[in-house]
Amino acid sequence: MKLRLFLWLMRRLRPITTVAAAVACGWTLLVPGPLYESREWPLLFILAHSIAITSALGRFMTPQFAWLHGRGYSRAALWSHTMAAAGAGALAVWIPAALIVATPARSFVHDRLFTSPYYPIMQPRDAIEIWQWLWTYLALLPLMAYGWIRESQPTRGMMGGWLLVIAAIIAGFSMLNITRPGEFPRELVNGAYGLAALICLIAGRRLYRALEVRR
Amino acid sequence: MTEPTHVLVARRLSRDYGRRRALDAVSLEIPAGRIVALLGPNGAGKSTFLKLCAGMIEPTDGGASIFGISAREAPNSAPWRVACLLDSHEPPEWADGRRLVAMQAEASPRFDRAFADAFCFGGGIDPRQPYGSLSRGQRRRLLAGVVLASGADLILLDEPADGLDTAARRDLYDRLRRRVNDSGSTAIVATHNIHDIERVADDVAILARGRLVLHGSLEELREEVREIEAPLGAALKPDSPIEILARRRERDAELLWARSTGGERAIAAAFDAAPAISPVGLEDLYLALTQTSFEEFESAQEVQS
Repeated sequence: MKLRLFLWLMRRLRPITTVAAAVACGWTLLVPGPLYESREWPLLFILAHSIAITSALGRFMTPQFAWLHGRGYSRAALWSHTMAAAGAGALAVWIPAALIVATPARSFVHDRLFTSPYYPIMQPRDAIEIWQWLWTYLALLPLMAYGWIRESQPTRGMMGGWLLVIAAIIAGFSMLNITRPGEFPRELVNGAYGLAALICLIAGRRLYRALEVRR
Repeated sequence: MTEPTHVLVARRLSRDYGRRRALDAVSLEIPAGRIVALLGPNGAGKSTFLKLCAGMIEPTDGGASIFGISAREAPNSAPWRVACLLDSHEPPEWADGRRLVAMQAEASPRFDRAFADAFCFGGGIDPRQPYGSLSRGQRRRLLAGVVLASGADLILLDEPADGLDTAARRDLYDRLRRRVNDSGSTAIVATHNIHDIERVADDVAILARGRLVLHGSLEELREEVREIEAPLGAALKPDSPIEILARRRERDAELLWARSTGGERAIAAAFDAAPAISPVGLEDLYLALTQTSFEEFESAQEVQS
């Protein structure tokens, strides 16, 4: 583990993480009703957050990206630490939001302050929903990383990479939005997402070796 | 496995950006322990050459190898053996000197911490000062110091002294010379500042319009290259053992820059009319080679072939 490199990459995510964590925690705490009733908002938020993380770490035409790649870290180290930083950036937002649901915080606020009839009995149901958020992050980040890594190849294939990513996101999100956790079609979608993410992760690692630092 | 004698070998190395050819069939070999001055006007292909050597970009044609492995493979298999500071590479503004030094130390197993502290923070640079708040000269000193301290076997520098004052420039190049002497590493320095680099370089490579127009040791070039002023109409004898590097037609004479291992006598004997022959400095030679128009360069190549 190259701690300096990891912290360097995390530093680039700091503004995004700060804003995203505040929004995620605020929404999770205060949104009225059970979480599954407004499931499209977390999905859109995770999509936007994943785009922001990808954009911060994968801006391969910048002087900063070029500087980092001239330091003497191996491509394997740069790829693995970039992916680790992306995952840590997602976890830094997901963990506080998940804790709000998993601890009595959200239940308490809605039961005692807003006197919602759903709480505290809906708390276990909400707790299932947060795992879908994590899974969505874990699926989206490798997909998007694959998009920019492919774009930075000598033989570009830019549209091919991004079209694949966009098609996977639209198809997956449409299915996730109309299904419920634990039901058959959703598990199928999650399984397909996981497989696509794994393939993109392996392909992204391989392609990173040939990445061009054009700046 | 034995180390190859040449640190860098380029064979017809070429790179296109869209329809523009930035580097055109450059072939050269650089032995270990040398400082190579890479000269050329803006847009000559110097930075592209350095990027190709560092394995950062893919050649369109040809290839380069460093330490016997493909330059493109080096960032995967021997990344710490190459350290580079290119003109367009900059750390983020929030990064301070301490952080930049620590990062390079993490990436480079042979990092020289004492050198980095002495050089990077010796010019009044506070280690905690953000990079964005440093002057251009301070930035350059810091980044060049980090690269020199890396202990890499191949150091690629693009205008490392840009923005430095005279004393700091001299200090930088002297330290580069000492590091190369002490460690046996090799440095390629792309610069427009011929006077500074001439003082410390062993070899020179001159690029013009993406082509390598001259490569050799400075010592040999000083001995072998001459400026020739020949009367108009003076012809070069067939099979003369001289290499015409550049030529320019003046109003009443023809100026040529030629290379010969036989010295001035061989050059004089190569013409059918007695020319005026004089030694030529690197800067004059550089100007002659890079200001010669493409057509003239082509015709000079034809004459010598």
